[in-house]
Amino acid sequence: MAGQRPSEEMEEAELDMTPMLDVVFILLIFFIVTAVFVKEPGVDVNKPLWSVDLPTEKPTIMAAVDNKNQIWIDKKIVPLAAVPTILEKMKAENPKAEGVIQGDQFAKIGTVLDLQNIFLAKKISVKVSVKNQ
Amino acid sequence: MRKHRGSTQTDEVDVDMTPMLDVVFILLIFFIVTAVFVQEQSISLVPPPPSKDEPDKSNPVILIQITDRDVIFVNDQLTDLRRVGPAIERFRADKGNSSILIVPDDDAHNGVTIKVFDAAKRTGAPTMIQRKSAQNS
Repeated sequence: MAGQRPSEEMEEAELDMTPMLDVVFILLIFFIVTAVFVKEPGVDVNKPLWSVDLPTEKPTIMAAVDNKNQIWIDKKIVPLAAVPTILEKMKAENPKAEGVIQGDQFAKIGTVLDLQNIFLAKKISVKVSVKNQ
Repeated sequence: MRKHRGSTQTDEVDVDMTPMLDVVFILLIFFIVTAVFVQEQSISLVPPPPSKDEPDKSNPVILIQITDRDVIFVNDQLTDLRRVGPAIERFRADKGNSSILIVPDDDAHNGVTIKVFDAAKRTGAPTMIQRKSAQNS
């Protein structure tokens, strides 16, 4: 009797964790599969307005041009001349990457188009981000 | 005695999952934290590849120029940003189904250029953006 009681108590304390483990595993696999390590430009830009609702996309390479015409990639200001090497590196990490340029409303279109040309030269499809009014 | 043996057997089968659960939880939290669901609404400014069967020269082109001070000229006529759409419609009514070429100065602002592009697209005409510097060279 005295030997039996502790074993009964132990069985009561031990919860069956298997269903929980299953759920956690499924969540884990979901997050691993959907994980895209997007390097955000790290600057808030005031995006140009667009009249119609556009389908949203999930870009993987992002560059931004702020209102002072500075180029931001991966939370750093980079000179235009350094962009090709950075993009080359990012494309090597993610060959099927799609690019998006976030241009501020007061960024110069010349800089945005310069960036676009670099993306295209590196054979990365690129779009310019807008905001629905 | 028999009851006791049965209990030891179930104890043996029951592997202790707690450390594994800890590890899995840490991984899960890591992936939840690093998951960024970036969603962007974006448009393509890249001109489509020229099609062979439809020569562009058959239709007169409506030229929209944007100067470095964001002044807009539609076919050399000074046009307010809000009047770009109607101006395009008027030219298209005159000259038929012409396509639109937007030539912004490099110092023109992104917002204005995109707005003009938006207005031009809304008329349904094929629209292209070409750099002023590219046109000159």
